[in-house]
Amino acid sequence: MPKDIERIRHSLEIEEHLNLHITGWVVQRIGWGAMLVFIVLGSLGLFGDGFLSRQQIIREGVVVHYERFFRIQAETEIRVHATAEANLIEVKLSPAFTENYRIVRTIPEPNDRRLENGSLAFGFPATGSADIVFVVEPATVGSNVSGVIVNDVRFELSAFIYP
Amino acid sequence: MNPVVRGVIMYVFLLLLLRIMGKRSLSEATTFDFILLLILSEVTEQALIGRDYSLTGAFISITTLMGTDLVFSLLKENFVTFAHVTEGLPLIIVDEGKPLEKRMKKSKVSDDDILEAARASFGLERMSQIKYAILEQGGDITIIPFNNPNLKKK
Repeated sequence: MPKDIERIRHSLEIEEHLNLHITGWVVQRIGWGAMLVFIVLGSLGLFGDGFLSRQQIIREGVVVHYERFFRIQAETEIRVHATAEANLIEVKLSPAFTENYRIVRTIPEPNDRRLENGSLAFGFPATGSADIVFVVEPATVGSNVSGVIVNDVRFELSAFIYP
Repeated sequence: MNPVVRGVIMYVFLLLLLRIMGKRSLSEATTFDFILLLILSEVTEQALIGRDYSLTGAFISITTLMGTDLVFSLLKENFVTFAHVTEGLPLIIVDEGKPLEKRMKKSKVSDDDILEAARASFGLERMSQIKYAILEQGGDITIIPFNNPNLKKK
C-alpha cells in the first residue's frame, strides 16, 4: 500500500478517509490488470472468434470447423468439408445439436431436409469435395456436446457458450 | 436470459467498471468521452434488451434498473462504508497553494485540470492563489481560493 501519500491538516469540513482512497487505488490497479487480462483473452478468442476458440476435427477425410467457445444468440459458423458419395453429402444433426443451436441458414441450400429418428438430416447434392456452412446461433448457456454425422462419420462438437 | 437478471448484472457491472476506471473517467466531456458514452449506451442497450422489443420488456428493464438504483441508494443511506466504497469520497489535491503531486497522480489529475477549474470558477491565474482544490465524489474539481475580497465566484 502506498504510504508516501501526502498527509495534511486542513480546515475543511469534509470526510476524506485517506486510507480508503489508498485501498481504492490499489483495487483500481488490480481492476485495470483484470481489464487487460479480459481484453487479451477476448482478443485471443476465449469468448469466441479467435485462436483459442477455433476447433477443427478431422476424421476419415471429413473436416469439421467450429467455435469451441462462443456467446449466446451470436451467430457463428460450423463448416463441414467432405467428399460427396454418390453425388451427395449427407449431414445429420443430433437432437442435442438442435437443442443447443438454432440453425439460421445453410450455405448452400440443401436439396433435401428431413427428420430421421429425431435427428435433422440434410442432403446436399455435390460432386467431388465441397464445403457446407451451417450458420447457427447458440441457444443454451454452458457446456454442451452436440452430435453431427457427415456421410456416416460421427463427430462430437463440445462447446462452451457464455451468457 | 431473464430481463431482470440482465438488468441487475448490467447495473452492477457498469458500477464496478466505472469505479475501476476512476473518478475522472467520465467527468470531463471531451470528444473521446462523448464517443465513449455513445458506444457504452448502445452496447448496454443491446445487452439489456437483446431482441426483445416489446413494451413489457422495456417496462421490466426500466423498472429493474430503477429498482436496483433504489436498493443501492437505500444501502448507501444505511451503510456509510458501502456509500464510501460505491460513491467514493472527496480528496484534497491542493493544500495552501501547493499541489499534492502523489494524490494527483493516483487520481489521474494534472496541474492543468486544477488550473482550468480555478479559471472557470474564480478566474484565478496561478496555483498559488488556490487555498484548496478538492477532487469531489463525482470527479469534478472544486476550488477554494485564498481569502480575497476582490474574487467572486463566476
